[in-house]
Amino acid sequence: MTDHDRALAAALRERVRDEDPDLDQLIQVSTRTGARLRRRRTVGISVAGIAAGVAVIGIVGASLGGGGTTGTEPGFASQPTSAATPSGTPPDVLPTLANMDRSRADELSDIHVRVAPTLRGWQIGPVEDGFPASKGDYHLSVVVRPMDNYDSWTGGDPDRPANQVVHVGETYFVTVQPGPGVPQAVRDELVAALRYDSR
Amino acid sequence: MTRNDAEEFTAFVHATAPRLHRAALLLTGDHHLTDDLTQATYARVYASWRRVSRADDPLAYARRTLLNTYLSHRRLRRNSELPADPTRIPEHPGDDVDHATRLDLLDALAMLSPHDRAVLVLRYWEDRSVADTAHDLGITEGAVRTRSTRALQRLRPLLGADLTERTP
Repeated sequence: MTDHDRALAAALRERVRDEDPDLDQLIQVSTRTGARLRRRRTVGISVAGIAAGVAVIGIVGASLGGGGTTGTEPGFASQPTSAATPSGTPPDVLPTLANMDRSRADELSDIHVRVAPTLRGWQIGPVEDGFPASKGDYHLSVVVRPMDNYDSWTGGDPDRPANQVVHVGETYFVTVQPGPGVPQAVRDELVAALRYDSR
Repeated sequence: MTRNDAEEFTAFVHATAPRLHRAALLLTGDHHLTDDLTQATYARVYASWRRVSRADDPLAYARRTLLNTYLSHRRLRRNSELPADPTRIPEHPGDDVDHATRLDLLDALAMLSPHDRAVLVLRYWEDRSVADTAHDLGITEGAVRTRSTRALQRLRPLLGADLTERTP
């Protein structure tokens, strides 16, 4: 390591020496968000398990019923194996970020929308696929939704007004739902500060 | 999660958060983004706490989660940050630097690419080896050396004076 390198190491340490997180808030927010992530993951695994179970039942039914096929046909032999894997993988043995492939790790850490740091005077909840945003007594929520739901937001449903859609990406869209009495200008201020993933 | 798990997680945050928070600040250069990144990291650690707590090195898992989260959002930051002005840092190490316009270290780091920044933070702040840095970032050791050399080349002109000095 050269003198310059040592100087950089020292400078980095000195620059952030006095920077400390608010531990109480960090623990509160991360446990709340983490619990939600875990629930979502568990639901995903359960759904995959049900799908795998249905696939297995279908395969067994097809095998028992004959139908011109047998259980040893290559087309059937490979399907339940891949589909059944998630149900046989409890949460505690899911692959770690260190072991899983890069795309899967990135997928788990996807956040499609962020709030520009220039937005002042707002309280923004932990930014993930849905988060609260408040300014004074005005409360709004920003929600990232899968594109599968897009039609229901543009089909005239009064509970899902199309004017709440503020961004449409390739695989997702974003809604901003204002609480009671939120002026249009306040909503517009928040919408102008949102930044989106290009996907 | 049992009460014991929750207490263990709380103790883990107390022990490791200052370090990860500071790494996050060096990576993002912005306090709001730092808070978001640190919270997102610990949320993911919490979501897998039973498995993480049994790992040989839970801090390594948390650090890797932080890096993955940071790098996966780099495109968003590109959209929201001002583009780097290459005229603010001399391209060549030998160039003279006007100390009156010297940059804050965080501003200087912000002019590097996210991957270059991550390499510098791991190598010179976390004190990770080239091999460990390559493993953490999922790139080759050669790429770590190349990125490190390039990043240092851009920052070195600033090292002739007190880098910790902050701009007003």
